[in-house]
Amino acid sequence: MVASSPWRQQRRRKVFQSVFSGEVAGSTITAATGAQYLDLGQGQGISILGSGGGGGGGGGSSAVDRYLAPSSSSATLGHATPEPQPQPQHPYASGNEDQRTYDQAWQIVTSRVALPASATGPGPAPPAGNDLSSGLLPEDDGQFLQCLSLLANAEAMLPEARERRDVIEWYVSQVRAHFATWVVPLLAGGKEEKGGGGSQYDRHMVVVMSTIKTLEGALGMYFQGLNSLLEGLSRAQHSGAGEAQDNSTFGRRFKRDIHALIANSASQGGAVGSVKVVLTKLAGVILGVEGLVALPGNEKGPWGGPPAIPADDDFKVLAARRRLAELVKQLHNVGLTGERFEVLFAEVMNNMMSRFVKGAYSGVWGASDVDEGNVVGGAGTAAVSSIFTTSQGSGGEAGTTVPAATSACIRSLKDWVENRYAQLNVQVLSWINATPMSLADLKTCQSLALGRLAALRIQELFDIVLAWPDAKGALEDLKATITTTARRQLLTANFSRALEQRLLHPGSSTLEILQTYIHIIKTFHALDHSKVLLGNIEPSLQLYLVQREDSVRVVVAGLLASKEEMEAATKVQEADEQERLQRGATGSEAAAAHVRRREIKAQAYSTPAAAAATSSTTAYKTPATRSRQKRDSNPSTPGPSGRAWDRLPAHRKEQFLSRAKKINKLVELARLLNESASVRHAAATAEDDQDLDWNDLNWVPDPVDAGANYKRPKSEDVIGTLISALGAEDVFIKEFTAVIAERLLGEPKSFEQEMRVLNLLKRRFGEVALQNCDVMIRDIQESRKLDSKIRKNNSNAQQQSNIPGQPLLVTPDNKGKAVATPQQPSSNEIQGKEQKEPEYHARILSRLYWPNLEREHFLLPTPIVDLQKQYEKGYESLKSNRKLTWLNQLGQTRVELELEDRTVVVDCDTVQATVIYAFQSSDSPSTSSSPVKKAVDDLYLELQLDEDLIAAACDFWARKKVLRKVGTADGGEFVVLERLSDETAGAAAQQAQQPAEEKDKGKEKEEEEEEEVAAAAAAAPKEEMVKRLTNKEKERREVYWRFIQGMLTNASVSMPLAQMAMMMKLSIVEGFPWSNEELQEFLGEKVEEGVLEVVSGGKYKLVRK
Amino acid sequence: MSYMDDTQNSAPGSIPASKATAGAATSKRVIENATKRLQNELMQMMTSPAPGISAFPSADGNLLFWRATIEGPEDTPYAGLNLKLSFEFPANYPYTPPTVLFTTPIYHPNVDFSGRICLDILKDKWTPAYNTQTVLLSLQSLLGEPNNASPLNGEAAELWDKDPALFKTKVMDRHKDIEED
Repeated sequence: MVASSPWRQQRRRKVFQSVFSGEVAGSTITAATGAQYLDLGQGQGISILGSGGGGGGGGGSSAVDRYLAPSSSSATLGHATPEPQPQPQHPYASGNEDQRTYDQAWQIVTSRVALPASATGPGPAPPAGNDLSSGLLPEDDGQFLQCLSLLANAEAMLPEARERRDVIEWYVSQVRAHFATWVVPLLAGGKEEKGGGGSQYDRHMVVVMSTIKTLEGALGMYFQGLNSLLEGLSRAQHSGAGEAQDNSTFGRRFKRDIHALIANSASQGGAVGSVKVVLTKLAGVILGVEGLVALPGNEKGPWGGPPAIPADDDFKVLAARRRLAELVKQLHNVGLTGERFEVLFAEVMNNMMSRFVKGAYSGVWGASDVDEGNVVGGAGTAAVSSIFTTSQGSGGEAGTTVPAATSACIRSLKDWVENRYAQLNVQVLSWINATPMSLADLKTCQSLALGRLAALRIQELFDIVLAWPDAKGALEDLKATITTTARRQLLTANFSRALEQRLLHPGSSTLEILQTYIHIIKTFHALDHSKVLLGNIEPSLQLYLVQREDSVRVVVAGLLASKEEMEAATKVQEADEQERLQRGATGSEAAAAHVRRREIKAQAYSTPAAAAATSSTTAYKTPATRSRQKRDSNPSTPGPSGRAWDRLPAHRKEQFLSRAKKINKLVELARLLNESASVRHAAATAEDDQDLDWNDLNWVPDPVDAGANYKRPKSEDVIGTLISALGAEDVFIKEFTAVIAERLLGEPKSFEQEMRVLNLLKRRFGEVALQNCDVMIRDIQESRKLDSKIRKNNSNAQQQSNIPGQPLLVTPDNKGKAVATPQQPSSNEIQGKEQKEPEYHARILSRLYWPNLEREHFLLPTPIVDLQKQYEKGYESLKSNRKLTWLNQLGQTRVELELEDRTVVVDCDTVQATVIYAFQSSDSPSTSSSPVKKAVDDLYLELQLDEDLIAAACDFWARKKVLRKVGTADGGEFVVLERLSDETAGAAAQQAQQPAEEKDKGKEKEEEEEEEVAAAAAAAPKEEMVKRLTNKEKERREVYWRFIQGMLTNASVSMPLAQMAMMMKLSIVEGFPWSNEELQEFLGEKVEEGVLEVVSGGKYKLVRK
Repeated sequence: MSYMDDTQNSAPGSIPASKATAGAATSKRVIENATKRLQNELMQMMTSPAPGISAFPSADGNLLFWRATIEGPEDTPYAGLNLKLSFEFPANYPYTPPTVLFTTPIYHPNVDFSGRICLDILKDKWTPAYNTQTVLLSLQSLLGEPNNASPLNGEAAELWDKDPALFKTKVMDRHKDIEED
């Protein structure tokens, strides 16, 4: 077993000495003393070692010699202690007879109890401490006892022997030396034995067992020797009864010393590491941690709820428990259960707790109504389980079963701590005779465990938020565990980090961010009614959202989502739900089976105490909790564990995002708005003076981390929070007005949805803030009436004349200026044979109340202009003193085109209609033999319309296959596609620019390919948007330029860039979105235009004209 | 009535006693309101500028202190001159008028030699409906049509009617382009 060379032994010894220098040094010296006597004995021809009690086997004595010789010299050299040195010299100097006898007796005694030169004693060592009464070898008995008594009574019997020594002391130092020499290397050497087969646990187990065996052997040996000595001594002087007691005291002290020695030396060897591994393994099995780690995820299945922990009486657990008991007792016997062991054990248990919490509860967010089957077994738990079973079985007596307001996870964790964790602790501590655990310790353990759970949940919080409202259970865990300010801070810090990493990056759409934000608001509100936590994490999110230009738009669109959209979204969610249910079906069966098993078990355990517990639990249940439970439970999820689905976070996120994609609007907002409408109503009266709600039994003080002037927000106000997050109210209202305006000018229909949302918003912002919207809606309604009246009048007045309908709206403000937007179906016919009378409707807007309605100048087709004039006249006859201003570009037109082989009916805007009309009017129908061809430039001259718009309109018609682009010139030329068949030909011979010549009379309608239509439809709004944005942008730059002019005229003649940027930011109400670079670029353009110059110091200056 | 007049005549910036007693929070909000109003006025001036006048907050970023420029209207003695003014807005603007001074030396019946202006809308006729732009427009028209009934500069008032040529000379003598930087 020990194959170490002398050199290595030496080295180890040195290490040992360096650590325990004082103690071991002492023992070495005394050992050296003994060794000299041995040498002496050999010199005299008495081979003590050879005949000495038991011997250590063949090589033993020479090994001793080899070792002892150098050690004695080194000891004498190394230690200048004066006392032992003279001792050896004296006896021989004297030649005293008594002394000689004494020395001989000494030799006999010492050789009798001398320790063998190996770690283990001869043969099977009897258990240490048990051999006090065991007999000595008979033949040696006499001599040994005699000598011993000689030594013991030296004073009386050998008065001349001046040199006397205490044989017990000698023995103790012998033992120490032996231990240091032989056993310590073994303990340390354990680690080196690698490479054995079997699992790590097995290998370490082997190490531990061999260590124990070594120690047991050595101890047996030591005690055997000691006992012989003590027994001999006691016999030698068995006159005094007091002596015997001394001896046994001495025996105990010796044992304690030797244990201390062992404990100290063991700490540096690999054996301790092995013990730790073994302990970890066994404790893991007993506590049910092992299974969790071995089967990550699987065990838990898709169903949440605390995991099933192997029952207490599980075979494996029992075996492990027995094994542990054995092991600990053995360790205790060999003295390895000192303070260090306790520390070690505490470490192991600490790890166990962490691993258990992590393994058992990560990703388990089930709501609190999922659980019972999983409560850990054990005596204490039996009571709890039986509560469930009783109430479940008999149904009535206890009402519903959920005891008080703690979540399943917390309950199961507490049970685990109480019944498994603490139990193990208590057992182990009792095995090693340590201070037992008190009840307070148990509480501490539980709160520690809850702390771990809190840390875990904090880690998971972002995923919990995403899973809202499925993770209510996890929220309850958190709510119950974030009780300290430090934890709350950890939570906010952690969550903010997660937020930044996972959400606030360019990869997530504004919609996603807002949806998550809604979830965050809800989650945190559930977590912390005071909203302090939410307030702490919000700033970064809000800051980010403000930077997203479209966030207001998304919110407004969400608010205005129609019922259909909400329903669609709900369907998608339900589909998700079902998919989830199916996925979880297997899991639920398993869970159910488990429940059944537990029921049986629990019944077996149930005791009167359990019954008492039942009633007390019920007493805790307040109506409040019950109602909360009820509200929390989602009616669409049947089954006890319906909402507790567990997926890996990544997977969840994916799910979540894909769902977000399916629903492309924040319909949640619309739903919330509707809900809150009813809720608010009821709450409004009650909550008027909610600061003074004396009846609120659930009131709690504001959390300590609330600021000094912290004002408790009223309720979970998602919409309010969102809107305030997006900046000022007026920004939101402005955007809302813009969206409403757009909708109102769109398809004529009833604006129920808008009205409803408007009314709801009014409640929030007040009538005044939304007055514009009111006016806008009324405008539209009024103009309907007015429109029909005007048309009636007109038709009465001029029944003969054609009254074409064309658009426009108009409105007069009070001062007589009017704005009109057109709106009407009109029909133009290209090469049409019969001219139908177009209908013309207008909407009349109050200019002041509508946002940014700019006029786009272009020439309408003459028939339409005539209609406009008539309409205008009609209007002015109704409302004198008012004038209409037509906003031609805002109208809508239905165009019917009769082409050679087909008729096309298209709804389009007025610009597009005007453009296509131009293709008709160029030629008289008589020359219709060749299709009309026009260039964009021609159209520009003809219509005085912006070229870009003309090109866009032509493209629109080209997509409708009414026009075809010919030529590659910049502006491009377009030709009417009279027959669809021309297209292919035309495409083939595009350069030829000579499409069809003759027209066939046959009219064949060909269906347009749907794909193309779809593509066109998608493309069109985009183009428009770009167009609009650039217009807006142009305007904006114009205004900024005026700011800069004003600044450089008045504030200072010349200014550096940074100061200009600062001034812009300061003086523009809506903020100045440009970065310094953008501003610099803009100023650079102006410098190029020659209106600005750069003077010394990089300052900008207006050029004086 | 007389109380009202007092309030409006008191130097801008001095807050009436009743308001001074109000808490610091109130006065802060008042200033915020003034600032907001001024920002809006500025934006309005920029989006619908009037010819010949312009104004902007001073370069130190104090929104309560503006500088303005009026171009002397054609067919007045001030044609072709750039006249600078300073506007100092009280914290409770627009409830009290701004203090307006010509910083460019100007020879005008209603302006004294330190640039102070005698204009009723800057004194007792002020209402919150006026704004910087309207004040500037009034001043612009004042250049062409001085109110000689209540002159600050008696000589100028006299010369305006009697000797336009001399008046013009005096204007040009007095005028000095100031370059502030």
